[in-house]
Amino acid sequence: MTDEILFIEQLKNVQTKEKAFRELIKLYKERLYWHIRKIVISHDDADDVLQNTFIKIFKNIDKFNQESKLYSWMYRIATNESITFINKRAKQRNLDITDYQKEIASNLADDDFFTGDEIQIILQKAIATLPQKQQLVFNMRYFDELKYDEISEILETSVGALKASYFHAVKKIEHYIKKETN
Amino acid sequence: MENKIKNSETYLKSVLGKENGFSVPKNYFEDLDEQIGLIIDKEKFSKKNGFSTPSNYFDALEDKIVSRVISKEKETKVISLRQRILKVIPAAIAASIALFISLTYFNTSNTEINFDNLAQSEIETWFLESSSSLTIESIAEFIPIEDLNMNDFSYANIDDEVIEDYIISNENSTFLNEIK
Repeated sequence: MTDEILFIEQLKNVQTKEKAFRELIKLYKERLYWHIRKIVISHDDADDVLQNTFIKIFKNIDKFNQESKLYSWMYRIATNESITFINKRAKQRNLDITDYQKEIASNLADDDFFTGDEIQIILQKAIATLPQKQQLVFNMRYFDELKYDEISEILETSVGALKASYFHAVKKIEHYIKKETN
Repeated sequence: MENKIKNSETYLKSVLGKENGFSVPKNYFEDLDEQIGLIIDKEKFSKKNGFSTPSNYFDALEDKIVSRVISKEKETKVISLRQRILKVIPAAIAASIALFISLTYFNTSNTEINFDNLAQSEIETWFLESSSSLTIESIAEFIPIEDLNMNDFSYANIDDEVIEDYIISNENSTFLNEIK
């Protein structure tokens, strides 16, 4: 924890800011990338959102009040940026957010940076049918293996509600997959 | 009323305690994750999601983002509110003087705009341009019935040709409606 405090001080100090920021990107780029990628699906979009996320972190580090952990704060920014991004895309296409997500999941087979097989496409389609919150909880718990406490801090939701969301998500996904594979 | 609710709550709490009567199997919440995990066949997905990135994508990322941040910082040089206000003051003074002069000296012929001032051609142009949205019915709505005199129509000089055209270009049902 003291390391984190020191690191945050370096990030806020004009003299050490750039070096510390470089270190911050190095530490979190992959984790944040994969978190964003699972929400926005395409690599190019994930790249855009990731860069914007880090720029926002850099610009707002002075406002970071250390009430939560640094990584939770960064995850929260990444989540908000991703959701704002897909909402904007859906609006541009005149589509409902769920319909937009279903559409991009259906196009995964043609994506150069998607090497998954049919069952993984089905899984992505199943995730696309879930409400936004359940999608986030499912991805963070199932794939990222974050603890409920950590997800609770990032999404600012109680652990109980998260467990319920996760349970519903898994049940729905299971049902979807069974229906599609039989 | 509030007291009554409070009394009832106190009573209920004393009888029931804070429990709601529902219970779960021992260690249910601790084991929940594993149980849920088992529902989805992990072997099938082996936690891979199928997504990949261009090769060496992550290697160049720090430089890419840092350079964007630095260039953005240079572009958006911070200007304080005080500086901004000081910059605007001379322009605001000049604009208000110009406005004062123009209102005092150049605004002598202040004519009121009304329907009579409008040139006939202006009205015609407006009517032609907006004719697609104007129907005979919508124009008729604006003409008060009291202003109409039956004699205007009875003794109006209408050429036979115009009447013929009217009969040819309208359907029989229209005439029947008019007779009614």
